[in-house]
Amino acid sequence: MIYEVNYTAVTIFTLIVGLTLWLSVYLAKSATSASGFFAASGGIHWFVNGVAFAGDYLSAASFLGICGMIAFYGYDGFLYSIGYLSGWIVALLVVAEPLKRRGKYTFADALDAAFQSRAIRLSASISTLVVSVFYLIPQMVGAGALVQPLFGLPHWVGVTMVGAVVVAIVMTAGMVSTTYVQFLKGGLLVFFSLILTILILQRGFTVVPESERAARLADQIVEKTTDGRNLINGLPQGRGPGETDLRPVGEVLELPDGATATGPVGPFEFFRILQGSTIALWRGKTVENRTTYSATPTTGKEILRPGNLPALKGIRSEKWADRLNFVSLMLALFCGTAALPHILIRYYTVKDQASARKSTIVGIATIGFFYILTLYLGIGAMTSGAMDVSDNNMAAPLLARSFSNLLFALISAVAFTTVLGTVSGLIIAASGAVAHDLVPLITGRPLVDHAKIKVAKISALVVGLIAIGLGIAFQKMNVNYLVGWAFSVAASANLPALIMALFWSRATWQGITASIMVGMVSALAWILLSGDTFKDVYGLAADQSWIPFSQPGIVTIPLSFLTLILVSLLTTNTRKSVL
Amino acid sequence: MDHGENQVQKEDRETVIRNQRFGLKLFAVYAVTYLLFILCCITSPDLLAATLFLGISNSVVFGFGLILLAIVIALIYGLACRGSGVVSTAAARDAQTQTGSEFKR
Repeated sequence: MIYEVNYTAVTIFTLIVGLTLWLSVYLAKSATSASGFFAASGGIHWFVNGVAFAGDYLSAASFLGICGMIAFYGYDGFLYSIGYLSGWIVALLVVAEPLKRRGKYTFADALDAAFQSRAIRLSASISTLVVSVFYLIPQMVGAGALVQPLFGLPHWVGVTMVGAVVVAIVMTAGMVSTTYVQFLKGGLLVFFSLILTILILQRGFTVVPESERAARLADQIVEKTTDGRNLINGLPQGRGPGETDLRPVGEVLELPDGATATGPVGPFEFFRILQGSTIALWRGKTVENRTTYSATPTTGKEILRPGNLPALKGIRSEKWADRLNFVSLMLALFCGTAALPHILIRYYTVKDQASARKSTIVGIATIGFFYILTLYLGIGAMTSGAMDVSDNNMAAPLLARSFSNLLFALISAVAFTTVLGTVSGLIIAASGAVAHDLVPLITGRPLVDHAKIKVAKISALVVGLIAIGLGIAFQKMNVNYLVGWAFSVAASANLPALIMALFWSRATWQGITASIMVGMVSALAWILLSGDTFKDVYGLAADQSWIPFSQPGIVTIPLSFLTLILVSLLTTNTRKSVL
Repeated sequence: MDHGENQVQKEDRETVIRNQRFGLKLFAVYAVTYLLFILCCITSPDLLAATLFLGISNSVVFGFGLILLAIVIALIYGLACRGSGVVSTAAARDAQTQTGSEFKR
């Protein structure tokens, strides 16, 4: 779809970016030491840290990706919400407090506390960089997806803008500014999602009039010409004479008892009505350079059953390999949260383990509440008549536009801030791994505070540039699906090492190092050789892949645990302490 | 905005072990519930499509239930761990994070 520049959105977004940059400059004096730059000197209040957890975690994938998946495929997107939240239980009950006791700035600190091993520090810092870069890709893709309707600018401009702003935030005040940007973003995101949900319930459902039905449900055909232009139903895409554009979609075809509109509905009634309704779900089918989008009448009961999303169709398959793909994804989401370096380092920003515990509880409550809202937001978008059939990442902002342009501007700006918050956390995790772990290993001596901050700032710039490049390269992929991969790599590389280093007294540095490397390499190899990557990245047929299913977690997480146990049993334990 | 030294609450060994054991029990409860939900998705799709509570599809009830269970478990854990520990200084915190060996065996 072609989007017009929304100047209100531009103004609000500019104000938010201006506020975050001012905050960064104002807080810069708090980040003059390494402790201040990487961990806000442990001086963040637990409540602020808890909401910042939400701001850090609720990324473009959660807001844009999940809403888009639910809007186009129904309940399957919500399975991601369930999986993402479940991982916080692992973080709270297993990892948070021992990690806080043992670490200082980075994930490697906690792993290495009992060993003082160069190998552990090296492997953990490499793993941090790989996971952070993997996680950065979908955030940057999300930024690009937002900038088109917001500014009317190309995808790459949005990616570059976010990269530049975030690098500025991180370089000025490190973890201090990052925390307050994430706090601001977490609060705004949950607040406006609640407002949207209330509006969805107030609006209820309305059936598309019979007189408009044929026109609104007709196929939409997008054809790419050899010179790179789009033809829509045979006409050039545009707003001028002789041009046309894609129609917005999202139609209710039938309501229970033949009603034409429901009026305001309650939060439970919303689902009861949906179950008795029929909705038009749109699917695209691409043959060579031509994509045909067609509406399929689908019952509400079917929409609320898992297994509609192509990536999760295995739930209903008779093949065990297909079902294992789903189990593998859910396992990775469960294990991945507590293994994400940018989440783990947030435990160092509070003063003690009681604060780490309390901030995680605030985080779980905030994030859990948001994820409940995602089901309303997704279904609200599905029935809004405002979706872009060619871009499911835009479902949430376009849902807001179906209410008012001001709300669209606000939601778009909040979504952009969402990207800023998460990307800041990722870049600071990556720069910490370089300055605190990797460079001292290479130079053979620890860096002094001043040098450490300087290296971290340079690293932030380099990681930012890499993120911009990858965000442009992966433009067409669903942001939530990409995050699923990042979780798989994190869960396979980091979680087994972390759990065993904290809780198994026989773990050795060799075992931990081997576990990280085997987990990371096997998960990456599995992903790169999977059918989904063949289809979506290489443009080949999925069945050319000899990997039986695409999600690696169910194989690579146990493999990483097993490697750690075997290598540890075969080597000498030199650890100093265990709890 | 001060982000300098601050007083930390360092919990004693017994408190840490007690909290950890309780946390692992709660973790087991949640992990088993999560596993049952996943198994239900792949083995009993009809159960997910059925309506047992307030006329709402079980898929929604179970999904919301899992999210609310996580919040409830987090609150229970937080309440159970409340008031434990002793006050010490930031210096103690720094010492323990640097050595990582506050609990010798």
